[in-house]
Amino acid sequence: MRRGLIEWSKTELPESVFDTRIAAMRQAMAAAKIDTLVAYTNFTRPSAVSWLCDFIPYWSECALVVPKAGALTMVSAVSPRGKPWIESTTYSENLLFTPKIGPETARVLKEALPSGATIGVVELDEVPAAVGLALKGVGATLVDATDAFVTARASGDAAATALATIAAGFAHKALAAIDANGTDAMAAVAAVDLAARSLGAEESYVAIAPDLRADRRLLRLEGPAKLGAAYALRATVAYKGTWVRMIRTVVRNDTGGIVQKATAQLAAAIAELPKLDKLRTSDWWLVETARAAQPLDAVAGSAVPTAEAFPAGALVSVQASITIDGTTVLIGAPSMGGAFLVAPSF
Amino acid sequence: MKTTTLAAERRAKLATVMTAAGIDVLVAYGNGWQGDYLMYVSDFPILEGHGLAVLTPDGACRLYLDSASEIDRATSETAGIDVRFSQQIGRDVAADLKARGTVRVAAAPLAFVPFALVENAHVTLEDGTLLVDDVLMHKTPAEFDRVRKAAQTADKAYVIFREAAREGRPQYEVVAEVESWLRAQGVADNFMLIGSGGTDIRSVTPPSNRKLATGDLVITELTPSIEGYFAQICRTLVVGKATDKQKRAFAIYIEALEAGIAAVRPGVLASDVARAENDVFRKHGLGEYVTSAYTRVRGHGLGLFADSKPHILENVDIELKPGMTFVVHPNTYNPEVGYIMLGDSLGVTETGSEVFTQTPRVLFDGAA
Repeated sequence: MRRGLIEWSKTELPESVFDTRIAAMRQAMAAAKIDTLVAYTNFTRPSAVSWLCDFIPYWSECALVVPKAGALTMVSAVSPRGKPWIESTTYSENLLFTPKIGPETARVLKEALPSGATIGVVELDEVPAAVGLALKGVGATLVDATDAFVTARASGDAAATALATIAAGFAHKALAAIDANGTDAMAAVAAVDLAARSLGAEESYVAIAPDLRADRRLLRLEGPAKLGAAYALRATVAYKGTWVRMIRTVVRNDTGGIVQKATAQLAAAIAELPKLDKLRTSDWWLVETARAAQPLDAVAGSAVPTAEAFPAGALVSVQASITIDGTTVLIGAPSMGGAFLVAPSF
Repeated sequence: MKTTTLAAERRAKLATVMTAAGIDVLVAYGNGWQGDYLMYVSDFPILEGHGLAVLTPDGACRLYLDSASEIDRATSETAGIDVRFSQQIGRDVAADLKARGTVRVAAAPLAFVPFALVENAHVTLEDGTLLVDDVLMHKTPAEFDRVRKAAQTADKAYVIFREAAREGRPQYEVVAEVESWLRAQGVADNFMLIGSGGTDIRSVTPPSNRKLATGDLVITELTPSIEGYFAQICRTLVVGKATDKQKRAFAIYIEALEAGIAAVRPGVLASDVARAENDVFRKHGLGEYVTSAYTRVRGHGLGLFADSKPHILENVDIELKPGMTFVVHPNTYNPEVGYIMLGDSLGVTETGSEVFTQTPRVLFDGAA
């Protein structure tokens, strides 16, 4: 439960960006016959709301109400003392404060909606029971609005691409901070975290596979560990609501250019996206993107039973385990339009 | 690495409670903000997405996670549980419960489980929140020790904070140094808020790009975890030299913290501790500043969540018992100088309390 720099930069995300996104959302709502949209946000599911109004909760939970027309309303469980902070980071005119957001959101909807109205909730299945039950009590038709939201967001925009490129740059610089000759896993994790946060990352999660010959799984390090002959670190970096992942593998005495070959294989696989044939040859792989509330949602992967379609130009973070000359290499990077946003070359 | 014996001990404790309550299955929910219920059951410190753990009284545990990236972590960082990836954890757990043919199912915290679970469960879910809260609050000696160790780390981390909090540095760089130092010690998680300025600051938030300036009060609550157990330290420092006005104001917070800690012993209520703290402010004519308009709680529980029960408030009548761990912090706004933070982590013992954090209770400044 950590956060780095959170601020709303109106240079990078001018109000017009949100106006355009909200208009796209309303178009998708109209197509789905949804009168009012509700998007829920908390610490780990902030992405839908931040896309609509920039707000990212560092504490507690909120619900954003997007009517067919007119101002957005944010119902927040944060204390009213947090109002100046929320106002400074949120494109929403109406802020309401209450410890229990479900009943208050329901009250707002009851007052605003005519009988027979339809309320669409982004990821209805996943919202807290207390919120879902309160919305059910409004008496309107309650439907899942995830598809409508995904449709609205799918086309992307220049602002989101720019933020992702910055986040990818942060991730690359952070991973470049590793002392490739070091042996202390904790020091390697600390170097990545320091670099990412000092650059202004909103969040930085560092995972490590300290000895790829023993175990390729990436974990959150707790306590000392030695770096093996081949090891990997993954930087998950957020910048103003946009999340990316990048992985760097270090192979000591890599005279055969093993990591370079793996990077080239990943580049070739990414060039074919959304086709997944080349990725499927890896024993472990994952493609994630920001669809709805999760900042990085799995859309395809070796552990994902059913791959979901995603557009060729979508911003995705791709990870894979690639074996070169008997050595396991973990490699990953954000990509868009068939190419790395920032190449994971070090 | 974590000790699996502690996880087994926790699951056994819960199993006993479930059996006594006649519960067939306990479903625990968690996410990266509040993962204590889930962690207690599954031993998994969830970071991304959300998860549900399904526990039976025989100790068998199945963990459903909706973040694919968490699956590897869960399989490598836990032992003896069945980990499953699910993009619809509410529906999948509802199907799991039905397949088991369970009669009595409790969920904790019920209000936060996915809506799809309550909508699709074949039985009405009972609220198991209080049942789990009770075991979360009353720590075993091993858990008590983890909080103690986390507090020792908090003391050391505050030294790093003090060194990092220099004039001209933006808040986020200060936080970056502390977080990085914690990672270098192998500390996986930390909850930290910060504020800097004068009477314009009414609360702490995540770090901004505001630069520290001479005369600023710099406030923080720093909450590292050891094996998932959090402990907190709250302190205030001044960039440059503290003024007499700042020192006078701070003295009231020392008095309040000491009064709160002195009130802690088995048998008293959480409200008694809050009242002891608040009475000091009232005595100094600052009673308005202990209301919800200016402050949230006068302390809170510590354990597998950084803001757990009991909340130390004048209307919370939870009895303190040996094994409970919490922070006492009379943090609030002072109208003359701004928001001041001062708090220490402690545990309730058989005879009183053991204060875990040892950082001096002083207003640190450039002259200190």
